[in-house]
Amino acid sequence: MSDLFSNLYLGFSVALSAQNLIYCTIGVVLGTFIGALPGIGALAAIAMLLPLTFYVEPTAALIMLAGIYYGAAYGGSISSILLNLPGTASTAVTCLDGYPMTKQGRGGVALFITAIASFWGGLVGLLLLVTMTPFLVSFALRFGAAEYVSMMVLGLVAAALLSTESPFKSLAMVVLGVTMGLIGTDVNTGQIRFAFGIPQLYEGLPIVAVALGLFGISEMIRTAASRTGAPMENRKVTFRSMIPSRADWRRSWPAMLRGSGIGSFIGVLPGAGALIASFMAYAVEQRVHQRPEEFGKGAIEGVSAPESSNNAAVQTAFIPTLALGIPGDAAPALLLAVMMIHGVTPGPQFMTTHPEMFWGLTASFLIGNLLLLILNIPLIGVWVRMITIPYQTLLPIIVTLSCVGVYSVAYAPIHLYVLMAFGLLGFVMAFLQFSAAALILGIILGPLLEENFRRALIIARGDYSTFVGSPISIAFLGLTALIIASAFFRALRQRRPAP
Amino acid sequence: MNRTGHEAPLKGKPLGFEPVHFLAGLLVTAVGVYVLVNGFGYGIGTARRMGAGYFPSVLGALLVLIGIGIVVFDARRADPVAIGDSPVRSILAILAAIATFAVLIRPLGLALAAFAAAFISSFASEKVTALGAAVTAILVALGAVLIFSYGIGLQMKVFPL
Repeated sequence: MSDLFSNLYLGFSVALSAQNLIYCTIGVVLGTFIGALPGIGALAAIAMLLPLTFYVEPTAALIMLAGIYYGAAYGGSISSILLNLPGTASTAVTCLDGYPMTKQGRGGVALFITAIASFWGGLVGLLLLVTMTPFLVSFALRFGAAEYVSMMVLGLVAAALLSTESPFKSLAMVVLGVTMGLIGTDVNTGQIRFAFGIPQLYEGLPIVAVALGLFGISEMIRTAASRTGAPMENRKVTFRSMIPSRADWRRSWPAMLRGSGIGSFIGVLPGAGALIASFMAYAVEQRVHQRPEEFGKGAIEGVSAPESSNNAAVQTAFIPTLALGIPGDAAPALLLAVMMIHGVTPGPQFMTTHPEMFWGLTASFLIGNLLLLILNIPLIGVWVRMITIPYQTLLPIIVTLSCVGVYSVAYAPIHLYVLMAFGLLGFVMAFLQFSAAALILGIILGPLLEENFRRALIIARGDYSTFVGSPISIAFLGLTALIIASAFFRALRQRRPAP
Repeated sequence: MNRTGHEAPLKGKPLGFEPVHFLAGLLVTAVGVYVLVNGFGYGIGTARRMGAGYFPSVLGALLVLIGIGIVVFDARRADPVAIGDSPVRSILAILAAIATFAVLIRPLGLALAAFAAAFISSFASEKVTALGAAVTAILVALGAVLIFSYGIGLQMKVFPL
């Protein structure tokens, strides 16, 4: 226990430094703002700010980017509630009861409860993070290369299959991503692979251009095409109208408890993130409610449960990410990329080799959630006015910012062409119903996977049975097989025969 | 999740399979073949001493199998993929904007490249006017220069000197 306290002390002394506090605030505020903007998510924001992190100390960079991630999980609810437009995917379900509440004049109450629920969810997730991660780490430190491979395979497969309609397509994206991660010079042999004769690709795909293209540019293309530019109504939210009644509180807190529990659990699973967590919490809440018909008409539980759930999920997504180096979601995957860029190797040894980074980051989560709570209640009016920025102004800003950001990484115009290529690819992939998140997970984990695969086989002198040679490895691979099997059964059952 | 705009179903009689999924599977298989062939080209080596092409070959083979799986399983699904509003305008505008930036940034510097990118990409929206686009572009260029050159201190040419 005293270990935990000394770690927490270390963490807070790092997180409370002036620089890290500033970056935390920037991250949280930016995250809320971008989350509130319909059409742009945390992923694009993180990708856009990736180049800036090169000039910043890694802990500060991670704190800021993480702040964007969970800030967006809160901010998305603002436009969901006020405009019936999801700010982020994970807040889509909040529209169902949040918008009716706005129509009933109770938008302020919904926003207030959301802030509280999000804070609570974040706290619960954070508690789990702090207690579970050291435990997981001590377990994972005993892994050999073969176990790493099995674990990564499990993580990638789970990420691909847990939330998909087409297991084949998601698996294809993961494998393709891993292949793309191999582009460049092979460290072991010096062989240049898949570089199409372009020298700037010898170092591998520029991750910033790829991420921004897949999640930023393709999103812009899609939204510009479908957005008719309808004017958004201006909703005024006064401070007094925000205070919930005692009945509201009484109904909300059990929903928050259930939601945070569900979200915490789901967030840990690689591939299942805030989106699924929020939907499940809503579904569960509806099922346990005394009067389920109230849902969809402004039931406050329909707002507090999913909001608590998605913030919890966002926090616990860091458990596999920080403890094992397996991202729980696409956004933590980008954070892993930031770590690698700064020369920090993610994985179980991360906590022991960089304790100030791990505990500083964890402590910053608490500070960030507090900031979200404190800042957002008075700032509601500001957000409301900001989300009425017309899309035709927003789009050129984001495209230009993306260009400058990508270019600033290496001052290489070729990166901009990569940005274009992946922007188009992302758009085509969305049309063909392929998952971009699975792709980027593969790209980021690919090199690690190959390295461990190679090492495992060298140690085992080419004997493949090493992968089923230890109970841990067998367990991972067994789980993988289970997930694959259940995904296929699910898909087979859903498949409707052609007319 | 289908997010290609309005849910206008494909016109025409039901084909018995969904061509989009078929195409998707074909693409994956084609990529898989490409990766596999190149993987062999890089030299496979043995499991004990993997060549540069060992892992890619494994991945390529997997892709081929998965691609076939997509064709066999998904193409038979009858849920049509909606083709929404034509994205051609936004694709052209946005990609042209990025390409213009790429071409202009070295010779002409940040200010002009940012202006060009912002101006061109504005035309992705249908409701844009040339004047509105120009105004936005000037503001964006100004902001970009302020934030990136003066604020963060990036070492790139701002004006054509």
